[in-house]
Amino acid sequence: MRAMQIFNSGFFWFIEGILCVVMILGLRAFMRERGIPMPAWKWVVFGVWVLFAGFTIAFVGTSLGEGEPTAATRGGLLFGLIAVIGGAGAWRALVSGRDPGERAQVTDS
Amino acid sequence: MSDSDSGTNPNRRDFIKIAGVASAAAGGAGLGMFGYAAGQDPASYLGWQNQEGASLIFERKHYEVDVPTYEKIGPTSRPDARVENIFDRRGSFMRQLRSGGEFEEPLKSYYEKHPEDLELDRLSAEEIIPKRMADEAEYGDRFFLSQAWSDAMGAVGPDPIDSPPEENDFPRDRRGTPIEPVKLKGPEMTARLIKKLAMQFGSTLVGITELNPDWVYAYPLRRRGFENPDEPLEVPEHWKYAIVVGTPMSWDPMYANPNYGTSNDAYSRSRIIATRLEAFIKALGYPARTHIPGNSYDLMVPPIAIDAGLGQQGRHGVLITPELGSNFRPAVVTTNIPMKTDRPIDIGVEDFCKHCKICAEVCPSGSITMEGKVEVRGYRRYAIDTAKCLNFWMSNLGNMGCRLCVSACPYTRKANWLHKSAVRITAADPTGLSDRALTGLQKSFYPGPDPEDYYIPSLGGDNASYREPPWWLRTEDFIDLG
Amino acid sequence: MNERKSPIREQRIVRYIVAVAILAAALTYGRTRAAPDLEPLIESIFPAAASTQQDQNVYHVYDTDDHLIGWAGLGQSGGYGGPMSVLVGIDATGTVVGVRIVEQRETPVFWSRARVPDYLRAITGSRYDEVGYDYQDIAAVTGATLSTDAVIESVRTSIADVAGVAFDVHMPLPRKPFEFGLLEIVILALFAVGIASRRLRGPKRSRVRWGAQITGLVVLGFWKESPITLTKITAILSGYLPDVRTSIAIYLLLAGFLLTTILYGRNLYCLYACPFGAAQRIVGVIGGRRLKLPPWSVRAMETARNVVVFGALFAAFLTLQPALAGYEPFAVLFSLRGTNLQWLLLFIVLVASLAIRTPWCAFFCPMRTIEVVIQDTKRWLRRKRREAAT
Repeated sequence: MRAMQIFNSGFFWFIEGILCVVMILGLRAFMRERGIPMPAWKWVVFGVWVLFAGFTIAFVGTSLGEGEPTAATRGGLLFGLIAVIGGAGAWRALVSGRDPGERAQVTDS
Repeated sequence: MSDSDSGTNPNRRDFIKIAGVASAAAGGAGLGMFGYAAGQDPASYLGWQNQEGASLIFERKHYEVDVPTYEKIGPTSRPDARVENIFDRRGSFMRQLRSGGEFEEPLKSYYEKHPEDLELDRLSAEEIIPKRMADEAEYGDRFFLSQAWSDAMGAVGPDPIDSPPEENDFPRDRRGTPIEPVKLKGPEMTARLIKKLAMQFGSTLVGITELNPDWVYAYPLRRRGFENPDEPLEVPEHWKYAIVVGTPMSWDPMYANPNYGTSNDAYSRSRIIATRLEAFIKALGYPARTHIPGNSYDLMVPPIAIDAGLGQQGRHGVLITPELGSNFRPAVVTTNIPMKTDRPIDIGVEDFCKHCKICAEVCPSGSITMEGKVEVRGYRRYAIDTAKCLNFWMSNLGNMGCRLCVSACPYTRKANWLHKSAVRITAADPTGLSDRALTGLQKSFYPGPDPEDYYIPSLGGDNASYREPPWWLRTEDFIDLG
Repeated sequence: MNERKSPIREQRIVRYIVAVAILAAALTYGRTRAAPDLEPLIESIFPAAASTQQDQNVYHVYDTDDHLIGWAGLGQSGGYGGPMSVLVGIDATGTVVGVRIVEQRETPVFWSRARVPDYLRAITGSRYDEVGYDYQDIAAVTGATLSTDAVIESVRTSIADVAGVAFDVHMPLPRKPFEFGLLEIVILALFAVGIASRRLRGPKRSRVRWGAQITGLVVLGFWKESPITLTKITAILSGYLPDVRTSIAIYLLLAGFLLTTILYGRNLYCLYACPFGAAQRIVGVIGGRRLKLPPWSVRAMETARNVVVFGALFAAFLTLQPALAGYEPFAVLFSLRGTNLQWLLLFIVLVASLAIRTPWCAFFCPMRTIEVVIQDTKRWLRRKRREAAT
């Protein structure tokens, strides 16, 4: 039980922050490789989706932790559904605007 | 960071991509663990343990308003405790029923005006209690541990006041000479000190208001030391302020209402806090008087708690606080020590209760109205059928009372990020959309048994509880019932 | 899909006939078995009851000395998932001494939210001609309106029956007005649009269909929550016809479904009105639905669907509980109500909608099974006619 308290600490959020940054770098590398432009609105879409997906996971965890399995199941399915559908839409939006000719030329922007 | 590096070095780019995916997975897993830890966090069991102010997790300042959130619509009057306090009335009813069944005033004219209440009071004595006794013999064993626990919780606590204000309230030293009040450095400092002390005595929340005399009983309860309870109660001049203190009931048993939770648990603590506060104020030389649960009051507590900025009244008639929801059992100290008062708050309970109605749907006795508000003594509020409510208490096995409306209220959730965010969202959203959405989610995510299932077997139910009891209240796991 | 293109074989028609015969047998068996035993209920109202004598819907109740001690009236009316029967006991002085629910075929979730027991308790003790039918209190419970209406209707008819037999008092039942509102207008409009747009082609037709479906999603889905469900169909097939005056919508939808299937071969309910179809299509647009399933798997899932529909109908007919048949997750989407299994089904179907074209319609929906049966029969009849002509 005491070990779980690490997840309520500031240190945990510090680690989460680092993971977030690495995730963003990974997405940027991926997009560059494919020559897909990443304007600001795409980062907003990505951020909103990450927050919502994170909320879904945390909701399920919290509901299990407080002993509400029905809430965990139904919440996971409902929010998960929104996250999956939203994720599919967001993904299609993220990979849009790709210029096939630009694939090799990755430049600073 | 040099972008051209990541552009030219494919190995490094692959590494970053893989690291990104791994981070997403680890971050997601971390959030799940965070959630699980938050769900089990002992700190979310907000209560008497988190004393000395640690329980004040809600930024009340944002939600302060000038007028309390109840609506005054006409000339007001004060309640007559002898007939309007259900416990007092039922007590008189039982006594007078036993001694022949001729009802004396004020019971007589009350029953003439409210024959349905006479019907319900009779039903309790003639049908419900005998049925409960029969069922208790057959099904009562299951609740042995919870009853033992409840008795233990109630075993400690000061005796209720049994002398009138002019005798009890004024501080005297050991020889009986009045104590002179100390010189205080200003109402703001005094309020700060009093609140800190209340917290220090174990209160979870504390608020201060000027006492609105409308909340004081017109005729007092019996056993509060008034010589003649049939004489009108004059509001003493030194009841200028009311300090509201209190604690929640233990969370896990509370969710296992109506059988496993107990009011004693919070009652006893609130009694102790209020009595200590009375002693502290008297030590400063100022008069003070406690009004404490179970039923030792000269006044109605929930409206005073609203005035003191602790919360708002819900459809079920119970005070809803942002920190504890409906799970708050208050006590009051009346005094005239000069203090800065708190302002009432509006966290959107009025709008929420208009749509939600979960308490009314859950209530096994149908005491909570589905309809709009009605006028009661010049104020608009939701009608509560206290006689039906008490009849269900009387029918119920396990611990005295029911408290299901407290357990099922969407506001009654432990203090973690999830539920407190929900409170903040409804409080901030003026459109009512979040009220509807959250009510819908509450109903589908947190279902409970059907109202009829809570009845005792001889009334067609199976002694259901809203949630399973915690392990330490499961009699069958510890005691050989044979 | 392949169901339409494959040549129609005798074998399939034979299968349909066998299935319908089995279902009819199940229903017949269910109906004979379902007659409730009223004796214990009458005894619970009249503890002194020793014998009864039936006079249509009214039972004369006698004690051991053969004195008439009262009457019990059996009243019935259509609830959401079937009929609602109520037994009202009235003693010789004309006082209501007890009310019992005889048959209760509502989905448990709907039933429990209704404050029916309270109402029944409240009218107990009133004189038969002073019973209140004002049910403001109980009808105000969300989602329970139809159920509580049904209870009150049943109480009203049984009291009227007893009054006629026992006290020779004629208590006319109020005639309910036709409830023809926005929902009904929208349903008619959706079918009208569907028929009219058969002449349109290309993007124009697509736009009209989108408009109709979104209207359907909002009105028949989120607002009125009144799509065709297997429960409603089963109730009607079992003979529990919902009151035409208050349930015009379901009759309009079914009539539209059947007529357009027979006339046009493709039913316009699914294409233009069904709110769940609209939800899947919207999700499909988001996801791009690019997955092509191998034909064998499509065939297998269609067969599985038919088997599930048959099983659901069989169980519902056998037990005479229409609510048993309703496996659709519509209520979860439109009002977050349903079993955990229905929540899971909704999740699977809508996630699948991202990649596959309307998976519910193809692999789960009972309406598709019914449509296919009608289409096949129609084509088979046409071929027979053609063969006879040549």
